[in-house]
Amino acid sequence: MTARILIVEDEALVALELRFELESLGHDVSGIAADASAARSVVASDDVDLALVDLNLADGPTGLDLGRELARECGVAVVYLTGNPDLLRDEVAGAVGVLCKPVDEQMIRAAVDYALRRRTGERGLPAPPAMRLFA
Amino acid sequence: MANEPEAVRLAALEAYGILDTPEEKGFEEIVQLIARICDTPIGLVALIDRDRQWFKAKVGIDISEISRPVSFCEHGFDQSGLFVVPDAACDPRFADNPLVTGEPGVRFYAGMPLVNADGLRLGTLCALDVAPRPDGLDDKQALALQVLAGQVMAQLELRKALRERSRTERDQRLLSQELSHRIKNIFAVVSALISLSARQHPEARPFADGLRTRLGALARAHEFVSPASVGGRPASGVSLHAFLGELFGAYVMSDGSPRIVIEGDDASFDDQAATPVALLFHELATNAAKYGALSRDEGRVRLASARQDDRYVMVWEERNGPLLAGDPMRQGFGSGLVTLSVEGQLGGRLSREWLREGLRVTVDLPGAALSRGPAMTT
Repeated sequence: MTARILIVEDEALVALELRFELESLGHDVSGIAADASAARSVVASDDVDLALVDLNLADGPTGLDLGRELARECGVAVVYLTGNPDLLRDEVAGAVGVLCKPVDEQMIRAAVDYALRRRTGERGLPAPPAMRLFA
Repeated sequence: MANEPEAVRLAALEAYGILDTPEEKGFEEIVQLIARICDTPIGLVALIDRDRQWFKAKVGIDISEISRPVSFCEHGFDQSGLFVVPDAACDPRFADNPLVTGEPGVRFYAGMPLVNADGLRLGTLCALDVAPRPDGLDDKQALALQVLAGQVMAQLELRKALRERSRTERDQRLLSQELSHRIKNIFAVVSALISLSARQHPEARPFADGLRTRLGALARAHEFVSPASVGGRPASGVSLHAFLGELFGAYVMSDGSPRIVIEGDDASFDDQAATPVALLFHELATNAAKYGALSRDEGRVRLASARQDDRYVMVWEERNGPLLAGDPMRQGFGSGLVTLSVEGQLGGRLSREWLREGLRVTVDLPGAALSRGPAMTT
């Protein structure tokens, strides 16, 4: 399943590596956004299926609210990606779940695959490793 | 009073964070006691704010503040110690005061200033009566007023110290969270850098992947022992079994049950042991996945730990994997890391037995190897 994916990550090297991994899995990367407003403009100009969203961005700890907004208002599947999963103790309505950094290719593949299949309405899928799912 | 010293005084008062706070038993009891000792209906702890006098504690009066020009206690400020007005109605300084002419009709006033260590007067502990008292206070009453004013000041200082400590603790917590965040960020950046570098060299890919998973195990262990972790885990260490459960999270059967079963006595480990613990078990698990029990669907590992006197012994036993035909000819770097972690860093003993039914590794550690703090009880 090929998808259009937005990477929201302020650490350029981490974002670049994610991009390569996603592309090698056959996905299109719609863009890399280092802050919330860059992410919004990518979503406004492109049909994004899935966003991988870090919590701490270039404009501060804006990832949490951004993810909620993308999920609720833009119909984007949202997977949070963070080294600080403690910041996300509460579930975020609409988002798929949270993946704890650092991530490897298998974790990314499983999480992306899960999020995309769930987006098409599939239910009862096994949870990907290293991912905490929201209800 | 000059403007500048007044600003300093107000800043000092502000630092106590006491103004407009709710009633507190410690202060209430003091005003009750002083009113009883001085045999007056009214007792007050009055603090002097910019343009009002606010009562931290009061007995015998309903209002909680009065405007500053009306205040009696203000006059006390010109005296070094005890200030007594036997009959306010006959005292030209107070005869026109609304507290004297109207409600509550104060006639007698005795106050002792509340002075901090810098000599700044923050307010007064005072006893008031609606009847004049020509003889003022007796010696015992005067002494009580003096001593209890000191006690009010001591309570104010204690309150302030507690406030400052909680602020310091909050700052340290924030700093520790920030540090922990940066450490994790560095792990993520280094990991990405390794992977990006390897993209130029496809032959380096397996090497890079192996290095990244080792780094990932390290990052997880350090996240686990970080003081900024969930719910402020105790600084003396965190559960080894809980960490291993997380580290082995990827090794599960299709129904989600673990392929590496951990049992026996738990132990706590801290930041100093995080690196060797992570490397040791990461290597054992990845090795099992490549060559040992976890390379087969039906393969399992049992990790049993036991506290034996002053030792902590962990036995890693692989089952249902490929049958082994004796010791391997050559040991890789991963196995070197295991030895280095156990013997070099944790000061323990390591033994490997290549039994026909699977590898058995025994890690025998000194009881205190994993944590500087007191051992966790199970």
